[in-house]
Amino acid sequence: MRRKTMLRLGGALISLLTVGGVVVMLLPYFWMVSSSIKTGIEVFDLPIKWIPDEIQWVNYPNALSKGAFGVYFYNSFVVAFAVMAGNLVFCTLAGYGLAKFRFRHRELCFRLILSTLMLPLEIVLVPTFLVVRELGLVNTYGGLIAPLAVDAFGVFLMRQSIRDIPDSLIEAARMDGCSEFGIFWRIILPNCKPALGALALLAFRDNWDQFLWPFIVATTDDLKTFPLGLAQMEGIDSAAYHEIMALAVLGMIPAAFIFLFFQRAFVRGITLTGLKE
Amino acid sequence: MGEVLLEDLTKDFGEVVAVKEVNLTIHDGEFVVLLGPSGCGKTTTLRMIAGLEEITSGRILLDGRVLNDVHPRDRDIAMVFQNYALYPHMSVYKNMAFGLKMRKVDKGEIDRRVKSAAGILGIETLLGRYPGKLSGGQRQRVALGRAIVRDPRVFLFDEPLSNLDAKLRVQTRVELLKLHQHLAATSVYVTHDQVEAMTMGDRIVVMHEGVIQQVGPPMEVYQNPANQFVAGFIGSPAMNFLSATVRAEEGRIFLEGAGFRVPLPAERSGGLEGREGGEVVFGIRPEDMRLDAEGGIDGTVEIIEPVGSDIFLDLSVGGASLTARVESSVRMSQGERVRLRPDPARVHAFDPATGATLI
Amino acid sequence: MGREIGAGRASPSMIRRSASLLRRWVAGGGKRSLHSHLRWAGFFFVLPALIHLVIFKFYPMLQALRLSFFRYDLMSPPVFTGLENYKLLWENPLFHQSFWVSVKYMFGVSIPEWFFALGLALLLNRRMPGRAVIRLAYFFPIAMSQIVVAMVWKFMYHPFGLVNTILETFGVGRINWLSMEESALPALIAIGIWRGIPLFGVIYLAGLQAIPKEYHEAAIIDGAGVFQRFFYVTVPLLLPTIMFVMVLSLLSAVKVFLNPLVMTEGGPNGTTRVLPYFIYETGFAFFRMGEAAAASMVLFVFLFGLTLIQLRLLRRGGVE
Ligand SMILES: Nc1ncnc2c1ncn2[C@@H]1O[C@H](COP(=O)(O)OP(=O)(O)OP(=O)(O)O)[C@@H](O)[C@H]1O
Ligand SMILES: [Mg+2]
Repeated sequence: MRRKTMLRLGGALISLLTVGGVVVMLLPYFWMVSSSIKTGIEVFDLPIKWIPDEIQWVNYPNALSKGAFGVYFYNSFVVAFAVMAGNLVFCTLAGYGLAKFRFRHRELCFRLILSTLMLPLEIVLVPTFLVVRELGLVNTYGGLIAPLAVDAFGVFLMRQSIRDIPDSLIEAARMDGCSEFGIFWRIILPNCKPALGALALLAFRDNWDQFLWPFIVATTDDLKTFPLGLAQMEGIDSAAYHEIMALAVLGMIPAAFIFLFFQRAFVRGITLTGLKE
Repeated sequence: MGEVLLEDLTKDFGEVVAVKEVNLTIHDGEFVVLLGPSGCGKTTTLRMIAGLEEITSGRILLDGRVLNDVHPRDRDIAMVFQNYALYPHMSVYKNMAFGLKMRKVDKGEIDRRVKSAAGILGIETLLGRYPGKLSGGQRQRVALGRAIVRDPRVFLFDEPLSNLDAKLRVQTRVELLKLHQHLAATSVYVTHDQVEAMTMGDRIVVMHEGVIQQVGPPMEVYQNPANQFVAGFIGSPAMNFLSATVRAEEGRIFLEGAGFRVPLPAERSGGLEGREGGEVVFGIRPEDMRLDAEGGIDGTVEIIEPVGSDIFLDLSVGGASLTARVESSVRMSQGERVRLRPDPARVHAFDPATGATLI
Repeated sequence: MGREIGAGRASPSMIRRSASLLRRWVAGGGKRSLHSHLRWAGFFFVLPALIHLVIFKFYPMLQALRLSFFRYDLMSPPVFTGLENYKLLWENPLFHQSFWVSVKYMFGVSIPEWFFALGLALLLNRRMPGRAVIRLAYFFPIAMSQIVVAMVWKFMYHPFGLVNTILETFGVGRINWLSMEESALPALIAIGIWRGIPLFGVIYLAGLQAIPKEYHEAAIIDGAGVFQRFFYVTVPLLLPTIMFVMVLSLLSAVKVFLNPLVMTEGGPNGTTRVLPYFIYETGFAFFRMGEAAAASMVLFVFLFGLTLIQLRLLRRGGVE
């Protein structure tokens, strides 16, 4: 009897902790949304009014007019989708090759690819810039996209997930008359959708977000991405918090959308990966 | 047509020789079963015929054409996998149609063939379902259907029944046989279940450590095993083996050992000529003995196992153990001493060193 | 064009040779046997990614190594200076400061992340009403952009921002978090932790769910309590995931750049100038490419050593 009450009390406490955690994790976002619909003075009002008396939708058009945000959003989309596509294609191909074929130096290839996790762009910034410059890609979409188009983590994720597809499916397809690429397209891809979803989500998030690389390689205004635009606007008008928050809300929407779209696939994709070995 | 010829077929995985110099002719329309213990190279042989495994040396011919370098899709061979290997993202219909679609067969023809195969297998109602939503038996049929629609020259089966429960297995076995009679296509069937092998095969091929031990019709292999391995592997409960000495007395040959002395008829003792006084392995199947107070085997009952139709007796014969099958009407108690008479026509003897059959 | 730096481009004959290989492969399966075809197929699937990484990772890495021995400002031709750049770094107090800022940030962020994320995963792995919604709420921030995070937190840390408002109710005075030497780095570290928890939480959760229930049931039957089960069942079986999270969290913490740039500009007084920021500044603000490359090499060697040590330690742990 006592034990049972104790247990239930403990359970309730843990649930409370869980919910409290959610609040801590999400509070900044609530505050962001709330501030984005206040006036520049109201944002610092005390006590905090989470929903202002008069909602200032006008912050949004005002904020957008403070820079070429149409262009910045467009550029971010281009980069995010192109990099996502590159990742989906190349990481999946490589993951398939590493998971299901035997060839000389396969393990070496895998290790080489994994080792690039230690060479993030932040570290090879200077020489990568020089390579891109050498290729004549400075201030082009190609230059923005190309260095990011393959990511070792993506290869790892896809390899793990494809390894779980039984070999016999591939062999059955081979006997059914499928070409090797046909097997990839018709058998492998449809059977690793969760991992593809996880990869798509992460690639989109990380590259919708690209800041450092565009910051280095895109110096003209028409190639700036949204984060650059926002940082620039913030630099000029750092006191206009209500408008900065409005832009932040807008910047959050695409990734949030992608997340909601892929979230089931995402959690399953990571779960399936299971990180065996 | 569909005559398969294996010539000196060999496969090694680095150190391991999985299949060694296999020579075998599988006739058109024949149902051949590859049988052997786990790891003996059955699957590897089958996969080489399918083209999924590279051949280390030797040749495979189908109707006179060398298949070694032919792509699996161009071999006109279909395979039913042990785990069925149904494409999880395709409906049953699409699973069955896939092979034809890849071969650019026209839509109407595909539809006709899928429906007809589904009809034969009784799975018309499943065509719209997905493999994940099927029972084991249903999946098995779909896997069969996928092979049938292609109308191949040769069917390969890799333990297709091993994932089914006992009852379904027996039922499906019968259906598979009927199907084979209906299609009359050459079939190579892998199993390690000797009952399946005995009941299904026109001929069975017994393999051990990558080497063929014996090829022949089931009863032939059962009655005249080529060596001690085959004798011990085929039959359940297994043949009894006791070490014995060959004795010649008054012109008759006896096999003698601790607790037994078995006379051999003159016409069967030829294989033991010149071995008088030497060691052999005496082999006798449980069902080839009967209770007889004058019998040459003297044992003590240790365990009594009634299985309904018969009773199996586990006996101790001179310290070694021996199983005998007796009629279910026999009353017996533990510790009792009994004598058994082996059927002289069914007595076997093997060379203890090589395992070769002597008689 | 920066021809000076580039070693030769891929030669035409090399391109021709690989093109003919590719053609043979595509045509493959006809003449040659399936199996020699397959040996190439696997390699060709990996090839695009490999080529990409050679061009954009390994080649730049070698270039960085080479460049670290030159003086180069992007304009005039590079001049070989031997170990001069490394010597400059060694004598540069700002580099030393940067290095330690980075180390503090890395461990300051990743160590709490390991524990909080595991705690979160354990919480979310329990059965409770509304679990799906709560999970979604926790994982939602994974999708948030860094720039959004940076902007929100800059505002949060404002003297009249939410952080101070909340602290004030507990009787703590208002602090200008980002402009004080003692508080700027901890403030950034807090953001890093807050940001990293959901993603690593998902990864842990995946690892937890991959542990078959039978192990826990067997342990319960053996009379193990909650804590014993955690230490004798969960932790050992979760070890590969733990290892993965540890490496990944360190590697992602060391990359931090945007927050110091837009929130503190590396200040006050360099207390938030992490190494990537130092590299960026040296290369692209002061145009001392050689020195920036040398700093990259130092950072790389540090990371490499750290990863090796981690893998070694954890492998030993895994064997026991
Ligand atoms: N890909 C492989 N690499 C290395 N060795 C292998 C491989 N495939 C099979 N072998 C080895 O070859 C031998 C024969 O294997 P095979 O799968 O043909 O046996 P099997 O008769 O089908 O056994 P089972 O009844 O268990 O399926 C075994 O010793 C096995 O370990
Ligand atoms: Mg097998």
